[in-house]
Amino acid sequence: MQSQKVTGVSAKFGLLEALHKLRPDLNMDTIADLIIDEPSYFRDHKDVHKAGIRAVRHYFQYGEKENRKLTYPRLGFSRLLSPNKVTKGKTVFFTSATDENPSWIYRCLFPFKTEEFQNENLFFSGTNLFSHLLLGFFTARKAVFLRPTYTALTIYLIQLCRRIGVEVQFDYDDLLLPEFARQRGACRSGLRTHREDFSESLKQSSLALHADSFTCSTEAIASELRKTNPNVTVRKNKLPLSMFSSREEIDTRAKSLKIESRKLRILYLSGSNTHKRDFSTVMGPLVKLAQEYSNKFTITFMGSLSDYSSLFRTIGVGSDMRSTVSFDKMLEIIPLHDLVIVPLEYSVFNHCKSNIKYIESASQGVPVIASSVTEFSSAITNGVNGWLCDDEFQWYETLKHIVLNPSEVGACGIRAFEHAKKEHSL
Amino acid sequence: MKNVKGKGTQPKQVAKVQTAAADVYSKKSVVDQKKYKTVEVSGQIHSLSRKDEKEYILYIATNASQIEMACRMSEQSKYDSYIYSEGFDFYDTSLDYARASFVSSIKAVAAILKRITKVVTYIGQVNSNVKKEYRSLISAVLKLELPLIELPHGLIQSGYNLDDDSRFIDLSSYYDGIGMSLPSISSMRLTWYGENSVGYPRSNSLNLLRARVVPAYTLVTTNTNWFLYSVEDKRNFFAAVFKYAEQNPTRLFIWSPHPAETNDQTYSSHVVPLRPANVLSYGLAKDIYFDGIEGTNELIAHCSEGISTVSTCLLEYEMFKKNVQIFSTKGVADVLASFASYKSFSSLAELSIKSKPLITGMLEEYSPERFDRFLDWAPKSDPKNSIFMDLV
Repeated sequence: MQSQKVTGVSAKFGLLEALHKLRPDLNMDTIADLIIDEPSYFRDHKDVHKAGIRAVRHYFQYGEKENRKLTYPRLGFSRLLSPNKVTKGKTVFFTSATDENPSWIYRCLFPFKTEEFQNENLFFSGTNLFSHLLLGFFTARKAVFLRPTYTALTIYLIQLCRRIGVEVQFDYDDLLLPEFARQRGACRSGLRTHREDFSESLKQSSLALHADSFTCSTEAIASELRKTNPNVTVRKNKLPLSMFSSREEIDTRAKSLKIESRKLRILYLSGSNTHKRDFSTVMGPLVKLAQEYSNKFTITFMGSLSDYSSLFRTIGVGSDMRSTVSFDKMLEIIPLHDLVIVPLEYSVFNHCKSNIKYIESASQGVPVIASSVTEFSSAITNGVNGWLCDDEFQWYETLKHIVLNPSEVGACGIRAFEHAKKEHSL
Repeated sequence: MKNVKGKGTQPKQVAKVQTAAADVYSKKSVVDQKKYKTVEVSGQIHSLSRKDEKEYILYIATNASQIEMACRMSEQSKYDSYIYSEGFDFYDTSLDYARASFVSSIKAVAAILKRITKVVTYIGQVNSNVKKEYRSLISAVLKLELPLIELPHGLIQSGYNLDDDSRFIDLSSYYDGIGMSLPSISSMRLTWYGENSVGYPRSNSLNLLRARVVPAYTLVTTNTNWFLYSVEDKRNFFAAVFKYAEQNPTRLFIWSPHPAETNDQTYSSHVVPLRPANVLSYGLAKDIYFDGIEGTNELIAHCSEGISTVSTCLLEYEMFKKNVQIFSTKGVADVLASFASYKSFSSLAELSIKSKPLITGMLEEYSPERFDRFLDWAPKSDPKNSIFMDLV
């Protein structure tokens, strides 16, 4: 639970009074109508009705703690029902995902949960008390919904924003439009059917009808979103400077690498199993390389990808599997390796992806070999601060070149570090 | 490869299919990938007095292998075609093949059936194992007296070229046989080789083969469910192959079983967890998978050599000139004897002897012109044959 305390609201007040204090332009009866569906509440809780207590008083004083059923009021989406647009207030970031979700971290926490913005932003991830959410949204000037999902709560909050004059902004870091559902990782990796992915994204895309504006992580996503709403801003994923190694650490590490006298350590950071198909684009080159140079490299798999380590061990290549770890821990594990591989299918969906694996690896002075999808191509100059591969032939040749010339990795990693620190840091 | 002579020049469609299929093997550009969006459909008003006197061919394909054959055949045919497979997601197929229309439900077939003038099936016998939708459709085709053209779905199959000596007749069993080859209910029976041959529909695979980066591997292709392999044979096969793999621990063996072998209650599915570490199950959700290599046929094209039971994929080994060791048993001895040249094994010791290329004598080049001529000649179906189909 990531609910935020709303400053200036004393606990001695009831919720209605607290919300009214935050938004004095809305009278308490209006607020009551905005936050609870009283007929439904009485229908579901006849004891409350019989006791003659207002639903809004009962729920927020007792019902919420008792986990009583609550029906969100249907407020309508028309701007005509809204007062003037709120021009002062906080920005509220909202997601139903957990606090560890990488999208949440990159899109909301890294750029906005900083000392500089500590009094300007509120963050709600995972599950929150409804009363906490209301207190947050009533302080808001703008609400940012990260990858909004089609739930009763999300729909209600969007309606609430429109009724109380709060700007609604959606943020995307993937191309989630239904027409591209076939290209999504879960579908391509056989974890979900196209029908499932299409139906879900069709439903979720309908929410976008009521977004006032969009932000997204890449120009490629923006170009698709602009087809339905011109108000799209690209805000690239970046890593806080504090998460980068220091230059001294990078130099020290580079000097101590001595890869020529040992095996090259390759790392594959799969994240979720939805990258199974992406990994398959490099399976042939990697296994072929393993057969030919089994004594030249090791490979570590990290994340929830299927465990391919036994396959490589069978061929005589040192290999292990590490489970998903926290973001901080991941940044500690990366520099234990010499090279990170980022194979991606050549698809519109992947061309819309950001290059965070490059940034994360570079932040620790470790270069990547990546498929030449748009964002990686824009960040990496082949052979300078990483390597790019168009197809499996290039993957094989590049891997082979590095395995046979591992000394190139150190300088490449330093240049990646410098580039990422300059271009992809906050 | 033998040539099946067809009169006339190569029609334009042949060049088309090679281009379309070749595209499948090239890296798709971002622009091409846009095709992965939902199909955008445009409409137009047609004349109210339009009369449609064209021929429309409906292919009934009951599995992925038959769908691929239907696609290749329809792509090169002069006729407009529909390919029906119940519940199949044709989207990727539609990107690879440019000509046919695709139907995924019997309800949609019912809507267009009146337009269909000829039907192609890969199962021309009464077989209760085939889904009800296909049986109902074939029954309807027979009653409508539409020409029903049958092609084999496998190299060696009952109802096509295989008699067995079983006194049990059980089409559902992995152990009992069928007896004399099943009678056809179609109005025309075509073959892959010999009399009434159109050639092997996948025979142009060699031209379409794409270069790939894959490791060196020995491919193990099996269909040990087949009733010609006894329970003892199944044990012996896996004992020999697994021991051979253990004796060669640095070599990779990729195992691509027949889809039906993964069914519960099959011997193959039981031995999957017992395989040596260097015997890898093939597939996206399995031990190893190379992007875009979806099936056994393309795995054969890229393997170093093969170990196989008697199966249709032997034609692929032959086509790609790959050495293959074929499992020999009493049940398939006569089948193997009909091949022109082969290397077989029945024990670990025999498996260890070097293999050699296979010549079945059954591999003929596919002729789209000849197939189209057969379509032209195909007679009406005998509606009485629907009686047999309606029994199951």
